[in-house]
Amino acid sequence: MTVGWPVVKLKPMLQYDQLDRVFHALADPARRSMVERLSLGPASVSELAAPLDMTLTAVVQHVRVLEASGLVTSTKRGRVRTCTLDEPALRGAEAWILDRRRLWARRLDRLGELLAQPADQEETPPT
Amino acid sequence: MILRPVVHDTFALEREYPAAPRQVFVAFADLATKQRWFAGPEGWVARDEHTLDFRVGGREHEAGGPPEGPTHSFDAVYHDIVPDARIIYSYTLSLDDRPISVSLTTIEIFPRGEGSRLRLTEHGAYFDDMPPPLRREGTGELLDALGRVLAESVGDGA
Repeated sequence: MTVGWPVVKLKPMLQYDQLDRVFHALADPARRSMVERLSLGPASVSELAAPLDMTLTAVVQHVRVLEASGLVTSTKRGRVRTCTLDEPALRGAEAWILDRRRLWARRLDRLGELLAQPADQEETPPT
Repeated sequence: MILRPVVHDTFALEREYPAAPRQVFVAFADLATKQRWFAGPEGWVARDEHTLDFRVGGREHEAGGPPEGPTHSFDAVYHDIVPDARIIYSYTLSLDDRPISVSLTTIEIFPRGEGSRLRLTEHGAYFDDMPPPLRREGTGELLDALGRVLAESVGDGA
């Protein structure tokens, strides 16, 4: 699936410590699943909590980490806090750095597959 | 034009392979072997012939991109080569001939039992006014891949 980056006006470059916060935010599987859910559209905290085996308090803490990273914003209306993914937070140099790491990780995995092939298959092009 | 600060980043990736250091080294040194794993993301098309002059002072050029553009060009110079053990090169990444980053990459290969351990360390300077990269997968796949990379990163404080 190919998804184009939203066309956005570039904000001033995020500070480097913010990049660290983005990495920290995405290093946790629960937070990744929350970001994944939010990539489909805004959701309330209880909607985010529903598929996760954790307390609402724990989910709120994860939301705070995501907010600190700039990846997610939330607004409170009455008793309901609604979270929204701010995808453009990942752009510019940060996005390129992630992209470069990701590309290298894939390449090295592909190299591993190639090296794991028996010698007599080495001339077979990868599928 | 407002100059934005250059962003510097270092990341490291490690892998263990069931192959001798010699084979891992050859996968970088031999163009035909390298082309089998060094390709860009799926769906990208090559724009130029991939050339590799694998010796100290030698250059490598590779260019490709999504069919709709832009062309991503990789232009490297090899600075240090220790057979079966170490490769150091620097490269510029350009988008449609406009350089957007310069990186220094070190590949270290260590014997590990019958196989090898590879460590890649990349220092990069990412210039101002970089356009956002093209997203190539859905968010889920992106995040899964990112999680794996982060899990495997070493020594970069990420």
